[in-house]
Amino acid sequence: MTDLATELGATLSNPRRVGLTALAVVVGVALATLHPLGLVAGGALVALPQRSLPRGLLAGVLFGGVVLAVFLVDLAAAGAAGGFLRFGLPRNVAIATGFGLPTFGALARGLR
Amino acid sequence: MTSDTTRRALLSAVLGAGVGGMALSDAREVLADFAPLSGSLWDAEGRAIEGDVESPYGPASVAYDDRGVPHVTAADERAAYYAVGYVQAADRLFEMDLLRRVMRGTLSEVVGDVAVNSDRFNRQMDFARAAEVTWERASDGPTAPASEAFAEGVNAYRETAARPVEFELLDYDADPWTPVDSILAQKQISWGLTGSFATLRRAAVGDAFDRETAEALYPLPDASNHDAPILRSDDREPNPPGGTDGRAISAATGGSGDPVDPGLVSWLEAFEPPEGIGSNSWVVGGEYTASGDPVLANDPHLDLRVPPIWYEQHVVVEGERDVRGVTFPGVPFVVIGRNDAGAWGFTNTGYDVIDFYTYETRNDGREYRDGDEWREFLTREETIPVADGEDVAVQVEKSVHGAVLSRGSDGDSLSGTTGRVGVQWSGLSATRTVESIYEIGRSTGVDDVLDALPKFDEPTQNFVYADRDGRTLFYTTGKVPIRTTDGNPVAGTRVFDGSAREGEWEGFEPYAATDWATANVVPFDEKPHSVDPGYLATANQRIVDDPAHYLSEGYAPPFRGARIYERLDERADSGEPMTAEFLRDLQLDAVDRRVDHLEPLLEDARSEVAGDAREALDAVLAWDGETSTDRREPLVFAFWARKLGERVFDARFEDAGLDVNTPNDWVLGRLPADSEWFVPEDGSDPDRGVVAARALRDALEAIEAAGYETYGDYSTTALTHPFDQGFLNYPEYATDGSPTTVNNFRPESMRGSSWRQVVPVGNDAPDAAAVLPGGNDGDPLSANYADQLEDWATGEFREFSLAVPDDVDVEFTEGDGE
Repeated sequence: MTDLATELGATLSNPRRVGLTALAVVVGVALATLHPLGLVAGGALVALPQRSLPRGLLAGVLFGGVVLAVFLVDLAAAGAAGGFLRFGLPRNVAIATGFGLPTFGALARGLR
Repeated sequence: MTSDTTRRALLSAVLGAGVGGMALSDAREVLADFAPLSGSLWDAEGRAIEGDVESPYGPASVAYDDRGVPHVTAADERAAYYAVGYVQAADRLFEMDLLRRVMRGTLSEVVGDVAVNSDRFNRQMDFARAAEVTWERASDGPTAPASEAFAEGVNAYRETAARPVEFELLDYDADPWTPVDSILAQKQISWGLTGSFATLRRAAVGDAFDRETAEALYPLPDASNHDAPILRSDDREPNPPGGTDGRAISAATGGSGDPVDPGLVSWLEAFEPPEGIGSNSWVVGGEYTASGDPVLANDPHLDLRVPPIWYEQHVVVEGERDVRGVTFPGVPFVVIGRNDAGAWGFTNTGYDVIDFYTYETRNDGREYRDGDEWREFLTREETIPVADGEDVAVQVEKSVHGAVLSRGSDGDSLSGTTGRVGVQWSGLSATRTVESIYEIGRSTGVDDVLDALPKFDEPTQNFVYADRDGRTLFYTTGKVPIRTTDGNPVAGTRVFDGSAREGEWEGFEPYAATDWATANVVPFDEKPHSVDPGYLATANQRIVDDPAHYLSEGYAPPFRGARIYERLDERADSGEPMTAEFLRDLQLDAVDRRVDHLEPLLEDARSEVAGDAREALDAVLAWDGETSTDRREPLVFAFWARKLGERVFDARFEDAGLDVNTPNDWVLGRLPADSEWFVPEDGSDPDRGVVAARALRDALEAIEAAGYETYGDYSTTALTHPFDQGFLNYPEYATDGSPTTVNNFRPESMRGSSWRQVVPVGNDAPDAAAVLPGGNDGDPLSANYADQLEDWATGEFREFSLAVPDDVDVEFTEGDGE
């Protein structure tokens, strides 16, 4: 927890980084609605402004959480959130890819 | 510097390989289906219907209730049925498409070679042509505008909304829906209720053993072997006058002389109504009820599956129709249900509306003799496309009687007659059942219904009805042929020599429009019926003692029918009124009278067992027959009865080369104590007690191996989607009942009450209740996917009124529907 708080604090202390990260989240979510590889691209986008590869990877994980939150809200609006939560294997695949692909994409931070 | 370069190169390689792998491998399809936000499976919003939809037929509104039942309201009938088509497609499009693929023989095209046999059979029967001629006849009739509007509504949804989950997983789109497809749905259920190969089965058993044995194991119905008919001697009009003495006709059995290929029978059994397809219904007149109004109950026993076989809908056409009930997805009109004037239901009669013919052939089997003439079989070759496999050719043949069936891989040269058989079935002709159903939905009482029923050409059914004026009705439906040989009526209990023109159906036109007014069928007035019975119950049992015509070659065992009458009689004799609550409880009655029927065998086994087995046996002997989930006795009894049947019949049938359905427990319990069928496994002299005791040992071993403790461990719902994937299947619940209780449930084959309704028919119809085994919406993401299943399993009901919810979910407005 402490590490997570520290990482978040370090990120949020830099307004420019916050702005770039926020923009990356918005663009990343938009890309994720278009194609599964948008999750990879989104992970890469949110990772790139971070100070290090580990922070980039953390940003990728958090981005995955944002994607899943948006996803659940979208399902709930269509009356399908309950159905999703009962949906077994596909639910698990969605959650795994929701976290996994952005984290994978965040490896791009290592290219800087 | 070098390490940075290496790191970048390594990460670049990993990222490139990962993205490339996802884009180019099978993972791409998984991601396209399941990825959050973009995965096609999650497009619930695209599949949900709400807001405004244009309709070429003008305004209509749809309000879904909390069980997902659409309540459709319109001023114009076509507008209403356009909306009905739209909502059925929204909720059940895949099921509709699957059903028509089965009947058209195009299932392999999407599911692969597992469906080739099914496709071959359905093409040989050519149900598609039978549906086409039925629609040709109906297309200028009263149902046509609504049927066409329904099809347009289905297509409007299909063309504009997101694909249902199953289409995404199989990656194909449904073809346009047509009124013929709706007729196919009706043909499918008709076949499922009347397409019996019992004649062939009896013939094959007769060939393997002897005729007497065949008739003992598969007895023809008469009063001596079935003591609980629907129409009892004190019913009004139990035996309509006229016609010929059916008993005399039914005695005319015997083979045509041509042996029947047991392999053909075994193959065909996969396509006939499976054991357990049956139903209960009863109607109770106002003199027996608390309210003074009649009450009607019905629970059809069909496949329990995902989604349910029935779809519930409520349609209000202002000033013309207010009907709620269930239909088969793809069929526009309510089949079982209620309207503002009455309520109705169906059970299967077991009438014989199918016959089989062999022929003298020549020219390598391409020609057959028809009396004094030689004719060529009408033959065409069709191709069955197979997903991920080679196309399969099938030869479709027809004779003057109808379809010609063979189990040959491609219908190629067939020597002799035993490998193929001509089939005449009433549903192969153009029928008017949809018109009858349409009129029943609009009926205002018994008189209207009596006008509509003569057009209910198929399937043969026990129809029960009650109206708000206090009238009640029982009538059997469907066209029952009067088959003749040399002009004399004969029973349809044997394979006919088609070349000798035995068993002719005069006036019947397969794959064409039969003139039912002149065809030689049992006249409507002479079919068993009862107008204004006090109370009357049907459970697929024998219908009447002395039918005026030959009607059937076999009914369901009488266990359920006798139990229903037992409880109705007790209640009537007590003077206590029959409330809706009592009649709902009767639908859930789980007392298995089969244990009384088989008790002599249990008694005989008693001296042959000891220890734990003796204790288990004594417990079953002391048991009251209640098949409740918390008891152990029904568990032991169910396994014992099954093992007993296997011990008595299986080995000898196998030795005789017969792989066909063996006799039921009613027959088993009626075999004489010294019957040669009770041969112990060591081949010693027949000994019923020894065989029954060994069956008990088998049962206890099987129970232990399965790890069962109580009946509920075994009697559990396991309803599966056609894909049989855990995320699409329903959750499991323990439930009371057995194959021979009123609360009918077959855990081995997942069949049972596919819909339960109990409807008091007063002017305000209070306390009407119903329940589905599952949910009304076939979308697994829907809250209504399985929301009624637990209620169904535990015996709960929910309201079944004609009230329309206030909140409208979909408004159909005037437009071109594009």
